[in-house]
Amino acid sequence: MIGTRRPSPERFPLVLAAAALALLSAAGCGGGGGGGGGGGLAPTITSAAFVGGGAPAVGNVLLLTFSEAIVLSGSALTNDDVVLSAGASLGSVTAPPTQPATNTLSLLLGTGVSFVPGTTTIALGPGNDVVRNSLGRLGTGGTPVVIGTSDGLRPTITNVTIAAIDDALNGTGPAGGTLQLPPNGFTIDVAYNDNSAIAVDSTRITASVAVATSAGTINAGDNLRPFLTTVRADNTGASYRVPTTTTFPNGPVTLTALVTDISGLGSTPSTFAAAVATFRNELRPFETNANASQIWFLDFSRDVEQFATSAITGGLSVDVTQTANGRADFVDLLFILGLAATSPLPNVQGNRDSNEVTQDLFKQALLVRLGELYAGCNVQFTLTQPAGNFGTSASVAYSSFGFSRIAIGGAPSSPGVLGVAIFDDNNATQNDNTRLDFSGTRLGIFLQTIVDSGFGPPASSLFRQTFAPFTPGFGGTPIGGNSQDGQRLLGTLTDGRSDAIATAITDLAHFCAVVTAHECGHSMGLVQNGAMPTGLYGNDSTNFPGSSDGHIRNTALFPAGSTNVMSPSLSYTAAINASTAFNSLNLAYLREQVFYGN
Amino acid sequence: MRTLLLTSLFALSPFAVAQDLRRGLTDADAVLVGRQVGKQAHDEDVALHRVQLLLDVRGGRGATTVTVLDWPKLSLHQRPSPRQTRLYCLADATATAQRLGLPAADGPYFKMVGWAGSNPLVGVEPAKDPFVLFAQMLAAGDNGTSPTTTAAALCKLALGQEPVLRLEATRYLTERPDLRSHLNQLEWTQLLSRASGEVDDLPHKIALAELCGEQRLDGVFDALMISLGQVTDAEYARTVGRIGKALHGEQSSGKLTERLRAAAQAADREALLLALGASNTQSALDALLAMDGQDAAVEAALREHRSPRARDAVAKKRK
Repeated sequence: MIGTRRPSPERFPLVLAAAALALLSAAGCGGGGGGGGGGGLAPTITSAAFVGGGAPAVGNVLLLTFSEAIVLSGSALTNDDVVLSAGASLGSVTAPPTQPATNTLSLLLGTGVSFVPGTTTIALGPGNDVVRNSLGRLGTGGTPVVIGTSDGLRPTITNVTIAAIDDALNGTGPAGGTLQLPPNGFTIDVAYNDNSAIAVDSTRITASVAVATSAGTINAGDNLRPFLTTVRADNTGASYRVPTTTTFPNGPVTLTALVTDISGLGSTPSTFAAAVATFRNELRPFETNANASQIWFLDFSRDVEQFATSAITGGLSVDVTQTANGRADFVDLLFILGLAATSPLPNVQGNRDSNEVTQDLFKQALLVRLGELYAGCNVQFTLTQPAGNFGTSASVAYSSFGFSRIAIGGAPSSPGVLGVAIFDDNNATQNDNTRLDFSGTRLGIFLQTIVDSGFGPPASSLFRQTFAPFTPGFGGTPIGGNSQDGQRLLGTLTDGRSDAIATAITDLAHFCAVVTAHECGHSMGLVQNGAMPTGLYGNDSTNFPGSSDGHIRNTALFPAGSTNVMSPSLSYTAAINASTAFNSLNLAYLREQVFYGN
Repeated sequence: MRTLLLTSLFALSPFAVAQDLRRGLTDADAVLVGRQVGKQAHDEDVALHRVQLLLDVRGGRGATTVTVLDWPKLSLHQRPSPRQTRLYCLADATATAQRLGLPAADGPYFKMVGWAGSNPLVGVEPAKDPFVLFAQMLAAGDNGTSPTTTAAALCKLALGQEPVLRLEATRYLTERPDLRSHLNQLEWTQLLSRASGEVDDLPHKIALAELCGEQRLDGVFDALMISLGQVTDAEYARTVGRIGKALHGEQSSGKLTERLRAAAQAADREALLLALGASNTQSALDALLAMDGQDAAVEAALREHRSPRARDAVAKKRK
């Protein structure tokens, strides 16, 4: 998601100061080649647009857009200052150019003007003594650009960010902070608009520091875009990934984006400040030397209690007896809900009865939703116990073996809790969230909380309306209690009950997936308190009202009815909302595009 | 270690505050006003907070100080805040304390319940604090105060100005049919009027709608439908759709489509369609499938229905 607020340079005085020093330092070294620019140490023309129709004539306007802010000498910009393609001329220009924007000049063409819009090219020449940058360096050279015909409106960059992180979370918002990036692997995202179309091949991305690439070092200010992987580039925005062959140096960096429309009009540059640091294994949540990926084993086998419903005024209560009954607590709750029947239909799918098929469908939907929530992250969920043993430890070194695990079971050890997991900074360890007694606290996912709460009044709640048709305690017929339910489960019979069955299974799975994603998120380092680069803005209830220790609520960033997965509390309706997701910063962390700590 | 708490199942809007104080108050073994005055580590996993009692709502066992167990490695967001006076909803932790070998002399031992909003700050005069008064009201209601008195007090609170407590009181009445049966006709009229007329505090509006729907007041569905469009909040539309189904079953779609035919404004139509989808009835699905699938409002309503056939219909129309 790309926001709409541009960063305020005043927010990053130290970063900008460092950037300026880097430019001065590079200038002192004399620059060098590479990239598509003219050395990055002086302004170059990035686009040119003729304002008018037909052939250029005396008094018409030519707009030149530059790679950076420019300072004009006050003299006229003439043929002596530029290099035009063969046979072309600006005419006898007499008036000094004006400056409609910090990086744009406007000149009045003179007598004898002769060029062909759409064909003629222009660049600053070695004789330029009119255009300097803010450091006083005269512009020269650069890749010649074709002079287009202006459509009258310059494109506007509305946002530059990293990894599609919202402004509220990328350091430009009131919460402050500075994103900490690995040397590569992140995306640079630009949002813009224009009245016509963007010449995406003319987009420039520059950095305030020299960057190592497959073609050697690209100096500060030179165009990096040829050394970035284009994920998307269209008329509303672009996303460029920094590949492993392009490496930013440690330290502060200011990225600058500039776009040009197809008529040759260029935007004002827009910047984004961040900091690059070494992505050490201890800070990297999914370092791959030890394990190819983070695997989560979802353990449904916990059996420490059993459940029964009792009538309360206006609903049912789900009562807990702390005695194992030889059946998983999760399955016990499916019986309470009516998603399992005491006399299931046999052989619904092969030799699997209706209860087993229902559970298969539930688990399949759970894994699919978890896959959606963790899309692009090096995290996998499995229903099969991988090799390895936690023994008596709740946490073991990350390299010990390849998985963490979490129990999906019944009741919590404190009322009102849906899940408890070990918090693990930067995912430094493998964690066992199946423990029943972590110094007096039970770990895992506790579905009894939602079922007990959901069975209470009002009868019009989404939970009641979804599950009551199956719940024996409400007079419902459990899945498998109707002779045609097998066909409904397999999709060979479609009717109102088949819709209701599918909805109940899917909704419960989606709810469980969000709670699981939340708890596993904690055990992979979410949501560290503090602003970037210390943390991920956890516990900042001033800027993100409703946040608490280790959690962040981002109401403003999500559509009505949905929520950030790592919110401190969760409603059933929000959990099953399709727009519920990790916030953009949490997702960038999970995708290893940003990281916290030092 | 972090915990995820459950907030209300029923009301949600972008403005909703996670708020389940009433559940904390009713689930707790002890409800106290206290001030954290000290903390010491028991071991690397457990910390012990000393909380000085300022007011015992119930269950304080006559103690002047209690010990609240905490897990410093956990990020439980219900945790004693140093030197702050707060309302505490506490679960008995005697068994855990014994297992940890904690001295009985430092008891009684508690831990905090998990319900969101169950540890509010309390003002300098606890006996006059509205949250404490609410806690005392619920405690008294379970301890001899007549249900008529409690219900009337809750109704007054539900119609009051304090946003958190009016939400709590409304939801509590919804969850306690035994109490709301003691409300009189005038009170119900006031509650329904507020449910229909409220336009600013949408969580409260939704909670009031659910309360009136749960009571099955005459004409409640029609009264709630009036706001659709005037209030464009999707959660309210969903709530009305579900209440319609709960009260009228398959016939709810007929009422909604009838009103839909008379809807002049686009906002009214969109909200009514959303409510129709959220009713999740077969007749609603049939009605939606018969409408123009290229219409974005119809598509949104089909999504709201959530059934496989509705999803299929959306997918086909997208192709």
